[in-house]
Amino acid sequence: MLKLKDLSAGSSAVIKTVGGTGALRQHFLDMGVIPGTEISVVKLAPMGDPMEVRIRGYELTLRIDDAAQIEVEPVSELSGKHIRAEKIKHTAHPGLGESGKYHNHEADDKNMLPEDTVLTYALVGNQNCGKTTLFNQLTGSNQHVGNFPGVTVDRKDGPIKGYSKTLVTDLPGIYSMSPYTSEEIVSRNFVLKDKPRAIINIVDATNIERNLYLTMQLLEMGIPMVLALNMMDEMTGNSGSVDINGMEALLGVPVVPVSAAKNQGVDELIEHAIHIAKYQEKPYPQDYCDIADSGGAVHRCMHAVEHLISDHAVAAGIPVRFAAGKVVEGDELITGQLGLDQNEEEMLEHIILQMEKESGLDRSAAIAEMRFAFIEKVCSQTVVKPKESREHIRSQRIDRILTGKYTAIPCFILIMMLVFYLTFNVIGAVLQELLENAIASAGSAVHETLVSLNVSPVLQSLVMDGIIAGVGSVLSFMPIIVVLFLFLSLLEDSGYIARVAFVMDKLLRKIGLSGRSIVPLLIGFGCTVPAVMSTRILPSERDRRMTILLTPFMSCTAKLPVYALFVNEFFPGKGGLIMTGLYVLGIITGILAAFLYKGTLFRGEAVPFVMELPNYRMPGVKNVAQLLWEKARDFLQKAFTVILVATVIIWFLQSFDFGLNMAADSGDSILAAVSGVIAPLFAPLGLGDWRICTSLFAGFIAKESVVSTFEVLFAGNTGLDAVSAASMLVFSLLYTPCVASIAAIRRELGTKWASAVVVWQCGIAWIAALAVRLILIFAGVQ
Amino acid sequence: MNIWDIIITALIALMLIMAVRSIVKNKKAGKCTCGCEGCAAGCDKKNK
Repeated sequence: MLKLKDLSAGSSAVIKTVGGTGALRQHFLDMGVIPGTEISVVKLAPMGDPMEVRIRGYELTLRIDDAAQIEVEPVSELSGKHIRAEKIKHTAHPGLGESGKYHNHEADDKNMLPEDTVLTYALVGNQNCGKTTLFNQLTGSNQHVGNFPGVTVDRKDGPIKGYSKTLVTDLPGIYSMSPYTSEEIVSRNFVLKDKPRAIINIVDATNIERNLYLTMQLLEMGIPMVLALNMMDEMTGNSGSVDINGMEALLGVPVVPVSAAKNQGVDELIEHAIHIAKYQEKPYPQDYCDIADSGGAVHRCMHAVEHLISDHAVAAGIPVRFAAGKVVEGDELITGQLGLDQNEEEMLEHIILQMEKESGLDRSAAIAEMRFAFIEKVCSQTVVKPKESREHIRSQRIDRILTGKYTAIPCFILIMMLVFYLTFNVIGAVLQELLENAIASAGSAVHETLVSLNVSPVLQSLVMDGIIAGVGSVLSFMPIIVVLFLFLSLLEDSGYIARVAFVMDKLLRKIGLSGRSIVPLLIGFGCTVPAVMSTRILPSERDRRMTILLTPFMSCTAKLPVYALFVNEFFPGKGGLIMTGLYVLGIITGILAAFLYKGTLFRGEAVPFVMELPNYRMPGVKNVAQLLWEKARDFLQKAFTVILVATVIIWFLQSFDFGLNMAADSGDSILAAVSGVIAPLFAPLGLGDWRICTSLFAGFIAKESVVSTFEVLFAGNTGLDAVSAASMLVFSLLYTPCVASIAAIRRELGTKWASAVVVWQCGIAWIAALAVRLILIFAGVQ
Repeated sequence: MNIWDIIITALIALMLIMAVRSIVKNKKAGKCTCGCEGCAAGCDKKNK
């Protein structure tokens, strides 16, 4: 039979079988790739792999190898099976989650939680459906939101505005309760183990079918729930509509249309959320396995399993209906928690085998099909499908160029070059010069004042050579760092980064990674810490570990002041070339390290590339401005705390000797004595001066400290030659990341790996710096 | 040592005390001194 990979762009087919095994196959089923579903091939990535398909009204990417596992039957045109209601019916309002006429005061008040109970909520939804935007609206916080699946990689908490006795937890986006990535495990564990008082399930109204799949599983948890139908403005703006009352009646939970971005409907959502949590109003119990589907095979199987495991599920604290679904699917984590004996396991296996025989579907596909059949019923009765949205049409037009066969990679290179050019040569550089002049003027004014006040020379030295030289030199780089973050944020918020992952997948696979790894690596050009954190979006431990080990090779913004210092002094007029060279050297060394990792520590293949491509969106001014403000604030905070203290300590150590007398020559100072011990190690690199060793060591606290320490110790006269400066640049590029990054790596991988990264990066940096030095000496550079 | 020496020494000492206090406070609150959002989120989780 024909495989999905054999279809050409623009052709359509009906899925016949979904092959493969394990978590990936389950993930495909959860994403709606199940037998009987219509699928169209949108395009292939520029290098022919992966492919983009359209299924159930959204775009999904998958690799050719994975597409080869899916058997299809071509169709000349789509049947329109997923076209929904023609027009909205006027269903009577079921009034769930309200204090109105349908609220049974006598029965419901018995469940009411005591007044002082903190109402805890889990904010759960698919990736990129607007959870963090809604979280910000609910809590008044300013968490960063992006337009890429998986921006939230950790849970965040906050009380609902005006309701101090509440706590909402924003969870990473998940597609189902079958854990596929580590971020999905965070969300699933929170709902199962932390037992929130209620769930706020956010559903993207423009992609309703796939989003409701998670809703189905949440309903089975038996936890009070309210459904927030987000992006309703986009839905109605494209002539779509939803019979809210009808959907509420069919799902058995309150449904509230909202637009989180425009803060519409949020107050009503809060009222319902408070009500259902306070009165513990659980979803209306109903049977999602239709007795008419597959001759009732799935229905009978589900109920038989429910009866058989109910005592175990209650004892394990897992909702029975949810546990039954997972047992049938073959979810080993849940089955293991039930503690079934061999006899029960055998009985269950027989029941499931019988269901497979009768339905003609395997167990996982049968359960997925059961859920999607219910969703189709809900959608066919309550959802008027929107026209193809303006956002989607616009995205397709843009994608013709940005992901086009011959234009994608040149566009990526051009965009990245433009970002770096604007940052280092235009916007950032101009702003930096302005700030540098302002700091220099302020420094002169302070110096004159100190002299006129006849302040002692020791204090003058502390203020001028210590604080102003050290902190001031770091401070002047703030504009460059903020501007680079601005561009990275614009690329992410617009949805372009997701396309880069799609385009670069085949290339990254050659070094043993998947396209999704490009995201942490690009973030690594900003700061290693969030880059390491963002590896949680990767679905395999192997890819995650490997990507974390590669992020330190991506030159972070904190290293820019170091480069600028040496480039300005030793290579004037060649700033752009040297900077670009350093970035390229970092990437090349990273690629070589990746090949080494691939052949030794991380043998095997990268994980499959299954990802949703979001529509391009205009980055929100408020969101971007807020991110920039946070970056500037964090930078200032760092300059006036860590760097200030480090600068003063360095100044003290280099100004005084062991007898605590002011050293006439800094060569007699405490610092000279201590750093002199390790200086011989750096002598082959031409960096055997104790002051250089001290600066590099200070860089371990924060990279910017290299510059401040250098300024304090050398007072403007480095005495280095160009070859040693080049060696210093290469060493600074590659040596150990700062202590905050190491702490982040330790959190993700453990102490052993974090320590290994410190030693490994220093070793590579030493070898690379020596190699560059030798090459330059042989080339006759002075 | 004139009066300005004393005032400037006191000011620098105050600045340093505030800086160290801020570093220690952030560390205790679970916020990393690096100040970046990812780090803060990770440390927040650690303190739960």
